[in-house]
Amino acid sequence: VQLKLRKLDKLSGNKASFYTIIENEKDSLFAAFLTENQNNFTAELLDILARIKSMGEINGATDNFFKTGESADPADDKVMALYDKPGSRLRLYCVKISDQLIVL
Amino acid sequence: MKTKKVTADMEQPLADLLNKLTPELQEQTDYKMNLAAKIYQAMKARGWNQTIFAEEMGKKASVISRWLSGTHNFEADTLFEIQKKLHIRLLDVHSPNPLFFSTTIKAGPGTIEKNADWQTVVPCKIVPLAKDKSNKNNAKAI
Repeated sequence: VQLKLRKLDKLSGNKASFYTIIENEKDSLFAAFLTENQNNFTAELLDILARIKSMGEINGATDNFFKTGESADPADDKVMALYDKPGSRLRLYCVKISDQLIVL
Repeated sequence: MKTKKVTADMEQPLADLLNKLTPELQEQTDYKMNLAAKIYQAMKARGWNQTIFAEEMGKKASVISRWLSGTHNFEADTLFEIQKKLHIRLLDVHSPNPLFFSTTIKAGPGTIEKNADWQTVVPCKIVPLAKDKSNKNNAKAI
């Protein structure tokens, strides 16, 4: 299995950069997430993208914007999920390396 | 070439969605995220974590998490209480009259006077009268 990281330039900014994982030159995990949900949950996806852009360009990806402790391994504190609104049907998981570097 | 095509295909869902992301939604989201960030930074500046902040506010930790997530629609009463507890200002109601409009004034030489009673500077753009070419260098913003 060949894995690559690809920077998402359209979402990244001066405050934080967002990356996604590409497996064997196929769709990225993030692209698959968008494709799977873009017809049924458009509004939720737009809200997620707006928040990611805000972190990238203005605020940085500080911990308060995420739900922490989402890994199966309690010792792993890097796996998080973007905070989802009450009633939300989507949850975007990520690996947060720092406030400036996040893998979606 | 194959790699470029694959890359373009991968970007298409994101590009399609970003085309639907209106400036208004982005601005509203930025505002809520900025508000949450300001509260979070003030909380950290006091040396508090979310658990301590929750205790200070008399709220559950899950409520604080929601406040700081950038997704919450705050009530004025809540913002007032946060302000008092963190000694920050989130609601600026003490400013002079807010600016609700901008205007364009068309004027010739000597027709604009600064009104001494104005309490608020109204953003304006002064455009010389089209027929009077001699005044184009005379009109100045007040």
